[in-house]
Amino acid sequence: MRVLPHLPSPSAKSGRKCLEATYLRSPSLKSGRGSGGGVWLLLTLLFAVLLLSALPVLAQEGGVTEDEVNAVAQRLFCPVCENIPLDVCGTPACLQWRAEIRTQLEQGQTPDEIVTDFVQRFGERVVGTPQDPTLRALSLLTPWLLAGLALVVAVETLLRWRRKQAAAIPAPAAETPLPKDDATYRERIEADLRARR
Amino acid sequence: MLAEVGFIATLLAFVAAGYAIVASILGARRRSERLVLSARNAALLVFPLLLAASGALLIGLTGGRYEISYVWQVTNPSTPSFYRFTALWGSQQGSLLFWNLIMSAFSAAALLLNWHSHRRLMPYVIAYTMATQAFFLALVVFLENPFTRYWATPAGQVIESVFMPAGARAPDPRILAESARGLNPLLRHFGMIIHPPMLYLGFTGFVIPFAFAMAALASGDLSTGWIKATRRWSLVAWLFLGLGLLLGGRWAYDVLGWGGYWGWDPVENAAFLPWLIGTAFIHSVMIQEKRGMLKVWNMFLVIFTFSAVIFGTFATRSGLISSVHSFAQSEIGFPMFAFWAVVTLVSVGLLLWRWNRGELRGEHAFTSLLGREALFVLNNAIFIALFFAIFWGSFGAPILSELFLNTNITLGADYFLQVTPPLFIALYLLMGIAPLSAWSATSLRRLGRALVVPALVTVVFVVVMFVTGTRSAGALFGYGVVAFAGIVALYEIYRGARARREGLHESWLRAVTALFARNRRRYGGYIVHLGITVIGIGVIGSTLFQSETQQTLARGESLALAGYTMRYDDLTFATGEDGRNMTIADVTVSRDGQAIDRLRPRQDLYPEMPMTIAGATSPFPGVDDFYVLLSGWSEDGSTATFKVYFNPLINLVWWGGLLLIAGTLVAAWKDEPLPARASARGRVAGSAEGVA
Repeated sequence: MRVLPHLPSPSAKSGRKCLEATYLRSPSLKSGRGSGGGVWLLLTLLFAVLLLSALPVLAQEGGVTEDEVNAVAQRLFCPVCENIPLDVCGTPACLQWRAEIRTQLEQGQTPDEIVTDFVQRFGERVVGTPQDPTLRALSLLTPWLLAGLALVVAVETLLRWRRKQAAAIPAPAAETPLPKDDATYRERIEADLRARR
Repeated sequence: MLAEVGFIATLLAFVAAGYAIVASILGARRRSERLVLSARNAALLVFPLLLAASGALLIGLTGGRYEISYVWQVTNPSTPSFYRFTALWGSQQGSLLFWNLIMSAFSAAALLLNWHSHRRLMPYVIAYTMATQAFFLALVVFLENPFTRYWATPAGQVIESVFMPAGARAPDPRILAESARGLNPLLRHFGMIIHPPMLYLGFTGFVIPFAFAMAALASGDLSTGWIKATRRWSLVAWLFLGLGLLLGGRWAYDVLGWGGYWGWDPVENAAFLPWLIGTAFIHSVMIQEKRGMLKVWNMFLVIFTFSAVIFGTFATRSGLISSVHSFAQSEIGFPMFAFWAVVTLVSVGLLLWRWNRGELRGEHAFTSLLGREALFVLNNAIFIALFFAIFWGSFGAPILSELFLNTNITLGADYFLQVTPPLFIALYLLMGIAPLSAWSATSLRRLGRALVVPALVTVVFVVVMFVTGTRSAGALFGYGVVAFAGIVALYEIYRGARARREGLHESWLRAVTALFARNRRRYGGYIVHLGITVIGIGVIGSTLFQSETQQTLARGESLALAGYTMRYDDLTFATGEDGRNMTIADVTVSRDGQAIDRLRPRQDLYPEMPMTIAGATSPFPGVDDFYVLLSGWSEDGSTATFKVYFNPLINLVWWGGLLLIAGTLVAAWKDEPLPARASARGRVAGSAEGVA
């Protein structure tokens, strides 16, 4: 599950600050009339979104297709939003980074070179598995070691239990005639079984 | 008044939970029936008190009482009535209160339903459920109180407090209404409305099996009583958690606009981890019930599941690893971490103490490595391995690299798609083999004979997939392994029904229904296996064969993808009831020149943030999906950019989810009692076996 845009963090504190700012700075505190700040905010946002939404349209004019840009962007995470791939991140910064990928592709850089360039600039967290050999080995080998350990423990436990059970089974004793009581029990069992049928 | 009512009710619930803990422990130690009953009554009182508190908050939300800070944060005058109701769990404070309400409902139901049948465990069950409840109530009362209000001080500051500070006055309600924030746009979707309650039901539901297990350890009643008492509770919690995961996936697919349903995000994984361990537990308890084995392991699993629930909650709400769910971050991180650590350590300590005293010895030993018990142990080992692999990728590696290597890393889908598939394959294989193996002992020859028919049907299935166009060896192998598990489930149902037909001369329908009625747990389990099979096929198809393109089209222009054509027809602008500005594209999807659907992908602009709504369709009803996103447009709408995905078999994920629900409900339902005569015969036979 991934989000395109940033989420605001409506924690109690930030909420209070926001309200405080609105309450204290709003002209309505003095005049007692409604504020027009919300309308301006909305208009600004509308303008920004129109501008941003037009970017992909404008961007397609070069020789590189959007699919080629996305193929590289898919391999990268947004450097500012955690855990959101660059190809689906809708922030202005990510739109710029995608435009940058397009430029790099147009300049003849390979996808691997572009990914390496992003890692050098923003660190290992922009790729899904680290490029640094030590970090990569640590990341990819550890789960296998843990899984192997779990399996070894399970198999060893089963074998140990089996050995213990084998040791616990006594050697078959010489067949002896059933005592009278046992014969009575056996008759009762047979009778019960006949009744069940 | 409303805030005071809510706060006092929450405070009283906290006091009642605290009293219940003390009274139940004293009652158990002094063997005082009066104290235990008093503890029970206090524990039962928590639910109505929290109902009153939640009701007060709901009245505030629906009545636009913006002086309550929570109401101000999650609603505004344009919020539709329906979303005012769901805003109860729209942010940290409200969702914690709601979490508490659900947990108290579970606790009350468990106490009422099990009071007489498991009387000896009850004082400890009260103590453990109420200890968990009291902790979460403390978070609400002291740290994340949804009933605080805004006050304007004479110095011109706005402060938050439940009760009016000296000299302060209530802010102007008009200004509060004008500045109110409104619900996070991402939460205004049907999937997100139901997804959190389902997850909370799953998370809090696991407190009941955990409390019973701990009660068994504390009381020394280590028979299978606690397992019998909690079987249905475990299944219900597991079902809700699974439903929560599925609905979350559906929400992501519809709203987030990246063409998929599972992004291996750490917070998604935080909910998936307890589900994995819970699944291992649901399987493992069967061995203890049937053979009296794995007593320590089952205790460990139930502790581990609950520990994963608390850890998941901590990770989600504390901002341990921030992600899309950051709306729920706050400063409760340390208390939650401390609670998680204490619960885990105390529980494991209690388990080790009993184990050390030799009180958890199995009643039987393993006799065969191919017996069902052994295969279940392997199944558990793989679940644990999967747990560690996902935990490592989501939390372990990023946290350790940051702490010790001073490097931030992200392990994304790349990592998970390298590490998890072999483990899932092993799980599906065992899901197919284990039902064919007998309890206690099975020879290789006998198991091999049982496998012949399902294996042949699987081969036929793979050949059909090949003939119908699947050429990837990996995909064919994956489909084969996954289908094998489902084929075995169907084969077992068929074998059971055939035996009834031959023995009792019943019709097929009668035989199948009687089979399910007589052993709902077993055959419900097979339906769950079928559901997991269908989900697996959907996951393989949509992961390996997803195709996508992003193109800018002029009006009337088309793009082609996976044999489909999509034409851009028009672009319109509209304003929603809640004030959102919508940009809506009209597109027509065709195949072989025939129009098969018209879609309306759109982008919504809220003052808070833009949101993309996908327009998805199913060209082949019920299986594939053609998924269109509107990514951009020119001002006059003459051109628009679309990101289009073709997701083959993706709808099987949702269809499989429905099967999983149906199967779990069947498994959790009480078995039909045997007719009197058969029952009496069974008793006779039982006594005979006992004698033997």
